[in-house]
Amino acid sequence: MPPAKKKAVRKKTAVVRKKTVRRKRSAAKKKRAKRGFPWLKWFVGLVLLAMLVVGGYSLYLSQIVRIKFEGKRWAVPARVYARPLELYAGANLTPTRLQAELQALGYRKVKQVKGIAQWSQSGSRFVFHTREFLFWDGVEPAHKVDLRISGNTVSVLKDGVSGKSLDVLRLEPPEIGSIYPSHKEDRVLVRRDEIPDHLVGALLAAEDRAYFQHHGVNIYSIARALLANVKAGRTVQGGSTLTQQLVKNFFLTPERSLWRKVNEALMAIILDARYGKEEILEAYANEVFLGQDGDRAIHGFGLAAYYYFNRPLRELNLTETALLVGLLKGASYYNPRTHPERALKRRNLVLQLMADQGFINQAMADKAMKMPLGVGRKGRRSSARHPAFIDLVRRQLQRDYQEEDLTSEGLRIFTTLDPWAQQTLDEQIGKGLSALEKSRKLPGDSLQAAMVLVSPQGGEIRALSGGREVGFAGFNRALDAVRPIGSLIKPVIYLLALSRPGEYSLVTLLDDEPVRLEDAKGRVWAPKNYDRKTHGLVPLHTALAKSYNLATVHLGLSLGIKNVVSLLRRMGVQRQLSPLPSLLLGAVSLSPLEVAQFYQVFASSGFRSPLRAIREIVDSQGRPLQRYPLEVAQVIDPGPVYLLNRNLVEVMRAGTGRGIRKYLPESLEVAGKTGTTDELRDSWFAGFSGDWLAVAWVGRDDNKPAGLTGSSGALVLWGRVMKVLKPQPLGLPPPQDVVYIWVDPQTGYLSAEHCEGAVAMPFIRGSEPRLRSDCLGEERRSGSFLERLFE
Amino acid sequence: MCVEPMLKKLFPFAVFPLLLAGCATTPLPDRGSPVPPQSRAEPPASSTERYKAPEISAYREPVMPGYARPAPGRAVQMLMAQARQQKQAGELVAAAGSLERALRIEPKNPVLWNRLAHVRYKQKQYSLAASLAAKSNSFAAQDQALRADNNALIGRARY
Repeated sequence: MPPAKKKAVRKKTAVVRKKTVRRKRSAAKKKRAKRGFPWLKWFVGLVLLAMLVVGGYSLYLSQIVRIKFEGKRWAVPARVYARPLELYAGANLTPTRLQAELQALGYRKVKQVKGIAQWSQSGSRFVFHTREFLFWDGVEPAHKVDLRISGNTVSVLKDGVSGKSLDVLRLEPPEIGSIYPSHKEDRVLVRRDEIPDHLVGALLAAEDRAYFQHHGVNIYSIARALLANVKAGRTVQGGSTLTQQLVKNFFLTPERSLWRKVNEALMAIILDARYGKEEILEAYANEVFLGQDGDRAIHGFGLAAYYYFNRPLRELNLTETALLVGLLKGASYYNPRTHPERALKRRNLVLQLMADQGFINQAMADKAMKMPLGVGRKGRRSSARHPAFIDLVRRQLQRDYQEEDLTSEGLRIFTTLDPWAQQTLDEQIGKGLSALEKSRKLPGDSLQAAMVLVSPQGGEIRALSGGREVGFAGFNRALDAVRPIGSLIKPVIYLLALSRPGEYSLVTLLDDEPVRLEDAKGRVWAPKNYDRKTHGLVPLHTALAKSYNLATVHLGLSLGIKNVVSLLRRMGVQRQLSPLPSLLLGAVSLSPLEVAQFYQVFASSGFRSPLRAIREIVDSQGRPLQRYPLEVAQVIDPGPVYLLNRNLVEVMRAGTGRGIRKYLPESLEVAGKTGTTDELRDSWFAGFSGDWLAVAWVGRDDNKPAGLTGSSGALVLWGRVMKVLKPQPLGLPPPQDVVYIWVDPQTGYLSAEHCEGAVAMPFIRGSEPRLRSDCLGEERRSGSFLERLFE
Repeated sequence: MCVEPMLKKLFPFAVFPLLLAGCATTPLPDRGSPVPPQSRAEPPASSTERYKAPEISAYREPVMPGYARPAPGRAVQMLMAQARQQKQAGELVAAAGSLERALRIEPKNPVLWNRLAHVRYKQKQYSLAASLAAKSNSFAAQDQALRADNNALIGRARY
């Protein structure tokens, strides 16, 4: 039974199916009969729908285009400039330094100066034509300048056109780097009127000849490219217009898909419809990728002109712009620095295309093709030139600015860097450390160093070195190597003593006897002199000149450690210091920059100026945003500082700084102090002339003993740098309350010029010695005269 | 009507001697700045022996480097004149900028420090003005009139 049942059911279904089909057919027949073309309705509906979708989508794309194109198009990094070179009759300058400055600015050397940014030299006579430059306080107009150098100073400075002598002239400041954002895109914006016509010609010839005719996309060129690609079986030609290329870079991700192609075309049409050709061209010129410099991407023709030719875009000639346009096909493949042959071929192809399409004539093209590439070895905009200094600038800026403003607002930052001093520092540290390693038989590259160069009166940081690897942005030892400063602290203690003229003068006798101190926990501190001896009673000036530890500890303890700490603080040391006795011998860890801050107070007669690396900041339009003015605060009276500085001169003449004579002549007076820490781990030297203050540190990164004292290590670097800088003598005028008196330097007794061994020493008026030496005993009259005056 | 352009032409010639005079006589304080009459009335230190400060010490430092008290160079004179004009026009920030520029050229010129002190005083930065005047004193050596002006400024700034 069951099988039969099944059969019956199946039949039933079949019948039903048939019925339905029949019914449907008949319904269709009926409909067709009723209206002519029912599919048309569907088609129209679909088309309408598609139009709606495409229209809506276009509207959406149009919105994207508008927001991006009319908003802030690019993040423009802050530009950092060195100090401008001031030229005036009497300025210190050598022909070599002027050459370096003009080259850094990208001026061209020519036989005869005919235009802006050119220079010529015959002997010690220079003629050059400066560029106009917008400083924070106004425009320095372009000048043709005629300048003569004799005896390392500018002897003649006059206008090269009128022949009238010029008072003072600022060269434009060389650019030393930029602060670019984390995506590492760097660019220099150019306006449409700064784009030379031959660059536009080259662009059109090589990339998009119908640019000014099409509507964003060019059907013919797409078809032509398609045909060529099909023929070749691979992609050999692109049909993209400049507009499409801009859209691709500007709005879209780099994936290659049909969908993206459609988007690209749609957006190109929208862009073309909404904005003018010139505006799109300007955007294109600023957007394109034209090279890679380490981790920095070179975008736009403005920056590329500097990166490859070290000149602004408007100064580039036909050949140079053709090279840049050639790079659009592949900036690394045609990189003129690494693949000069490819770059040359590509450049000449661009030139030929320009001739073929009538942008230039064949003769011009032929002439341009014979030119060399002309690419400079290294662009001045490479931020790797002075990484330690730029790092300092960035840190000082971060106190006042958001990171985003620094990397996107196109700020221009004018700094205090002196490129020549910086170069001297870099060279001498490299050579000096290698020489030290060689002479001391240390393994190569085991020593490290840091150095800071400051202008004493203004506190401007003129150069900064964070280590021996020049151009490598690594550990910035000038800022971050915080090491015990050893005897560098001693002048602070002696200054504190000398500021109490009722109690201390340079000839006050100090106890150089053993010290033994126990703290609350029973730990014993018993420092020793470097020579492991004690010297009994020693005059104060000798104790500092010979850097005696025991005399210093006795002095510091009687002055009060808290008072020493307080003076250090007033001198600009901001780090937390614990007032322990070991502080008196330099158990205080500071960076070379912090040491420079408190030595600046000595170098400027007791006036503290906060060290500065930045002078002014202007916005992208050149409007001044901020100045970091010259600030001065009196910390201590000039009299005691004068006495201390005479003592620091003695350090260099007869004390631990004697080694300087290898580098500077005896007649040139400089002041300074050595510093050495336990087991010779850190070698320090801080000193100053009339025009430079420099602090040097030598040691090892792993903090193992370097085997160098302050005088055998850091002083060597200091001397090498100073020798090149040719410093001016200290030349501090004695303050009004200082008098010079002949004394016996050992006993501190009053003496006279004719007495053996007598020296004239400075005293704060009223603190002169009373006791007379034997030599003076007979000279009653002179003695009584002095007595009458003092009592 | 035609007098005005002529005046304009003559203006630089008329102003130049004034500027020169302003630069040559260092101790005179800025025109228009409220300096007590006694500091202006005091004769220059070098004019007569009677006004020389009494010397106690028989011995002074033998050589004073020549460059420590230079006659201002032309560059500094020009910048000082510029600063004076800016100050008179009320452009105090620019005036300070010009003086700082001059100080980079001659950092030990006491007159420049004095002028900068006056600009800061006008900007109501009194403690900075006093420090700058004190710094001017530290380079002023025997220039008693300049010292007097600095001391007067310090007195007013601290008042």
